Amino acid sequence: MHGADDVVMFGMSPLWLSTAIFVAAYAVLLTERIHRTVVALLGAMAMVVSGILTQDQAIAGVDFNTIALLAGMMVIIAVTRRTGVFEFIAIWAAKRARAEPIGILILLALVTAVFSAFLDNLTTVLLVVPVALLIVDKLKVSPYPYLFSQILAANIGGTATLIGDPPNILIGSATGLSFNDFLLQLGPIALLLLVLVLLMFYGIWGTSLKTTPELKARVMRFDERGSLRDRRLLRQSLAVLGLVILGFVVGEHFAIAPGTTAMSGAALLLLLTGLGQDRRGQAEQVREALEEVEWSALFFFIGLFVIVHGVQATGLLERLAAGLMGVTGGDPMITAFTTLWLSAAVSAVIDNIPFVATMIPLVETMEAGLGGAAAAEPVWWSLALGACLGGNGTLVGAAANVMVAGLAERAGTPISFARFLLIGMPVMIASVALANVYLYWRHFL
Amino acid sequence: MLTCREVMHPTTTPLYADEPLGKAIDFIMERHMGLVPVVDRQERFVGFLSGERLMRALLPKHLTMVRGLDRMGYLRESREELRERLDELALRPISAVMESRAEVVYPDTPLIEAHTILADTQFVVPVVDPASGRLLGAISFFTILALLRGEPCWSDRLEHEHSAGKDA
Repeated sequence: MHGADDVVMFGMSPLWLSTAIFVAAYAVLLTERIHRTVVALLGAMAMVVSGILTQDQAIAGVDFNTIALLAGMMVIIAVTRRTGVFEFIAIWAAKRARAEPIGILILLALVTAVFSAFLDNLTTVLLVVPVALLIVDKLKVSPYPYLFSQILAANIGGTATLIGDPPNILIGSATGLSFNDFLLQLGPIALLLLVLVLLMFYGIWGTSLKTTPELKARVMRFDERGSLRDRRLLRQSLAVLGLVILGFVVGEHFAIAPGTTAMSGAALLLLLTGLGQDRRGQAEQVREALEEVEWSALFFFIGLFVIVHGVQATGLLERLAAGLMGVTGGDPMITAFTTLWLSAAVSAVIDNIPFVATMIPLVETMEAGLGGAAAAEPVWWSLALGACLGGNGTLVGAAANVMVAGLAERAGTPISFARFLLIGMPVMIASVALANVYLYWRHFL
Repeated sequence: MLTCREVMHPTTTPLYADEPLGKAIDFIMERHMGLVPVVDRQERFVGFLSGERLMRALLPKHLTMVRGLDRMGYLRESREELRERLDELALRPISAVMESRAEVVYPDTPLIEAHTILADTQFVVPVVDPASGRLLGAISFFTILALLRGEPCWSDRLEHEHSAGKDA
């Protein structure tokens, strides 16, 4: 790797050149004019072609645990989705609420929060929101409380576990903090925030969401069993999903990283679904499952890892860390709280994945100055909480928000940026403030 | 060389893209037609309205929208619910439901072009004026087979039967 004083292309020092590539890539990402995967790959290419990183160094900078975890879960979810079990649960929940509009709002938000704790948020909203829109259409009530509650529940639910949201996956992979660490540290605050948000929704819409007995009867006529398509596949998928979650919980005791667990689960599920099929049938099963993998997201991560590795190698992040330490005086509490609010503010307006990917080596660099890994742990939780909860701030704060907005628009009920801001921003500020109190209570009192 | 001009059946349509779909449904039901060309107010061809498009539009939008639900095996709808959707559908403009990505040919286009489109993607190929885009006629497998067998094409027969029925 290069030192800060070496000269690479264009007569520039590696530090400045890598900074220029980093800033240019992030600036283009912000404009959203070019697909983010293309931007990340071009930025990564620039880091290698300009001589800042060799190809081997670039590959070494890719966190394959994260890639494996994402890809493995994508395969498992793609196969499980085909069984219709997620629609089954959403409709079952709506009927348990006796088709009462506010009850449906609360139960569907709970379903989304639980799903997004164990699946990725984007998949969750893609599974639940169309069902929610169909139900509110039948009930002839305003879809907006449902759309807003789905967004907030997805982001809060995703905060609770290591696999719930990409920032947590990145942080867990980089630090070695386990699935259980995430669940024990972030689960309680996520649960508290979810309860408070649902109480708020009950307070605002509890009495105004009204429908008629005839329209409720239309929803009660739904037969959730009709959504289950392949019982054998359902048993296989749920068994593998259960095993994978068990693997996340106990994996740390056997030194098995989450990426290995998820990939093993994906391989096992593909094996099970292919049993009893001829070669062509097996090939078809594998092809269908892999088609559902979001390759563009995986290549985005790969490109991003290389870009961040480039600025890390040339010392930019070291300098930024030193600057941040100067501001916080190396005090773990001030550093944690600064990280929390900074992460929330940034994540409310830009994609939190590149931000967290950049912050990780920055925090790693600060660890020694903060007093070691144990002293720096609250900073990691602050980064996770800030990045995940910040997503609730605006309609563009998280990929799930944008997905819900897209679904709402196609269903003929578009969500305006300002309308969401009126709910999302106060919820974000209040939840980050509560998270701040929680961190203080858990780590500094 | 056989061109589209020699094979096409002169076609007019009463359906304008900006009219309500209710009018199109009346027309389709009256004529038992599964595919009707649609034009704009300058009589330029702008798309097809088909039975498939109508049925798709009559489904709950949550099933047909991009990234919507895959299936709805759990839905148990009454006739009243379907009727409500049809009433809403009838008020929408034809342009919202029609297929606007149809391939067209010109009168002087070699027939093989229209024949290939019929074999690949469309049941009917509109023939339009190259300068104005106005709808002049249409070619379907009926018109080609009717020409080769020296018979009047299906739509001619239908038109004949329809006017005979009216006269009676």
